[in-house]
Amino acid sequence: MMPTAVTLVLLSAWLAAVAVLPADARLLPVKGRMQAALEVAEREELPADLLVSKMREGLAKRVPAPLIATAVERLVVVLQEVRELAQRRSVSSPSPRLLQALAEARLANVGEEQLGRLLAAQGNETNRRLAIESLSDLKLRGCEPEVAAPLVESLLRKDPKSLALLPSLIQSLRQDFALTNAEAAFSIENGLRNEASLQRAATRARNENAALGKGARANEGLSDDGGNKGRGVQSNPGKGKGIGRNKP
Amino acid sequence: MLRSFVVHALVVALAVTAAGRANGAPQVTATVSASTGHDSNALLEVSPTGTQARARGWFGGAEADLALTLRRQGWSAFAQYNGDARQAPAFGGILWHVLEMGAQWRQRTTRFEAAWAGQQLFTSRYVDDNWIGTGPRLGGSVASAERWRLRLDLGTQGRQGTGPTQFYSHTSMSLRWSNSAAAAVGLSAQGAWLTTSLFDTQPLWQRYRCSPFGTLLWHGFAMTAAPFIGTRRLAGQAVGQFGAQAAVERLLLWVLHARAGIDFTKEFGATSAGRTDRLEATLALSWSSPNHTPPPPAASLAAADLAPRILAGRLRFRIRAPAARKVEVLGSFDNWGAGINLSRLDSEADGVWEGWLANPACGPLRYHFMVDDVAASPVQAPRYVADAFGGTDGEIDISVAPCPNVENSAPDVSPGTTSSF
Repeated sequence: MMPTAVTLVLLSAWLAAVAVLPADARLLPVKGRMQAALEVAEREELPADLLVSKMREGLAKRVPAPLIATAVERLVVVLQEVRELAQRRSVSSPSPRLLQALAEARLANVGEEQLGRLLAAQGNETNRRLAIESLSDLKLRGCEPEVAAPLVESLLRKDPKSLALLPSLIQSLRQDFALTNAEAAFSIENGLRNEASLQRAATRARNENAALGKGARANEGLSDDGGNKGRGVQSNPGKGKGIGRNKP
Repeated sequence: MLRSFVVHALVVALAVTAAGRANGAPQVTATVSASTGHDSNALLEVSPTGTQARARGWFGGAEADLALTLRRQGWSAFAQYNGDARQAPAFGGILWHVLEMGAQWRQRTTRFEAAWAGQQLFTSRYVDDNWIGTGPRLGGSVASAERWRLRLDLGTQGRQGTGPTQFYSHTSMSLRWSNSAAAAVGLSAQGAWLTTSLFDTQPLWQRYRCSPFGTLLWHGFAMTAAPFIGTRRLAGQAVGQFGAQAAVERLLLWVLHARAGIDFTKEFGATSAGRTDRLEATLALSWSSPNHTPPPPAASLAAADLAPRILAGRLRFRIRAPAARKVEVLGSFDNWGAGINLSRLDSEADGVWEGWLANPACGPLRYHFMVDDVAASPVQAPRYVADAFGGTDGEIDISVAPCPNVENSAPDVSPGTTSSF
């Protein structure tokens, strides 16, 4: 009786460990490709459950089966690439979550160079993963990784707990002060040079931009003075420049 | 000539700006400046928040502005009165009155910006008992965000008085590049001319300028410099110009801000009587409340309402889809299963759909919307993730009580959002 119970426990544990294709008839035309991708993942010790989850996500989103298969196959390749990248940067056995963050960053078109720099940066794996997630989030919000990477690196050194806050802080700074991504990123980076935390750096960046006359009120006019502050059309832009004063 | 220039250029300018600002309180700014051979000015400006009204007074001549601006979404409407007596003898009378009324529309997206303004202006000049009415002024601009920004502004206005109709036209174009090290350089070109018809090739007066410019933020210093070279022509006589504007700004203390600037113009190529040189230095000091933050635009407030929120232990999803017949939210909360059907809120909500997830599990949760069976990325999410299908998933970190201390817990600080995760 006892050996049977042990066998059943071991069998159920093995079944739980093996990733199984979702039981959905829509995947039948590409079942072979899916199965092959899972086998590669298991052979290469990649997180196969991530592939299964991606299949389920594709099915839920009504993505055609061939496109799901293509996405899963690409994910396998990207996972292999980022694991090699991590190993080149002395992360010998990256965790599945770090691999996932790296792969999703690559899918968001974050460059290997920026990812490599973050992998090589000081800090524990969790913080480096947060930095990578933050960088890919920024990319998806329109902030180029080469612009954002120095700031993310700086934050990783100074205030890693706040890394997840960075994308939405940059976005709100952009909206409130009519800044480009690069300007918003630098404003916070500049604040971080003088402050120890992201929140204080962001507050400082807000104050500096407000003091420099940026923001919705300062940029409401049609006139442009090379990106600097200026009054709008409706407020007679400065001494001697108003409509009534444009006299020869 | 040099002596004349030195006399004209010997400008002593001092400006002290004091700004007291607090949330909900009027902003008060006072400026005093003095210059030899040019204006000596004092400026008082009061800008009550909310109403966007402003009153301004000048001394040496004298000038007063009273403006009222109303804003809603991308629209603004304004009315402004300006009286100026700067050049009136002994300040004995008002030189002109200006009444402007108009509306402006402005739309900004991630990469592009467009603005149009219509403006009516009436000018009454008491000095020579003459009046000039000016027609609508229209302008437009487009900007490309990120590192490069190209901007084009155009405008023209007609002036009708007792004499012939005149048209004042202006255009400017600037190209600007900025990098992550807070350096920005660019080049701008500006032109303005006064003609008797819109297509007159021989302006009564014209001015053209070309100016490279640069800004640098370094160790808290904001430095700007813009040399220029140009020409102006009046009554057939051309005068060359060169000069520069430069300024250094610095946040001295948490609320104290200083600015020093210089602005000079040297003219050449005409008789000394026909030239106007200018040199002005400015020193300004201001302070503002450290707690002051500009209110987010109304549009982002609306967007923030679409962010997911935990309320009474349930997670609320929202999306705006006015024309939709069916909206679902899918996600990792049920392992990308059937998802949750959203319900349309009442008509006042402007096509907003809403759905609730009870007892969301702790940790990161990804989600995506389906609008009429078509995948739709979240508009406002605490975090975005590429989904490998060409779209973007939203992700929130459920780390509120009774969750354990989940790593990478992050509050949602989306603009205008007050909830936190």
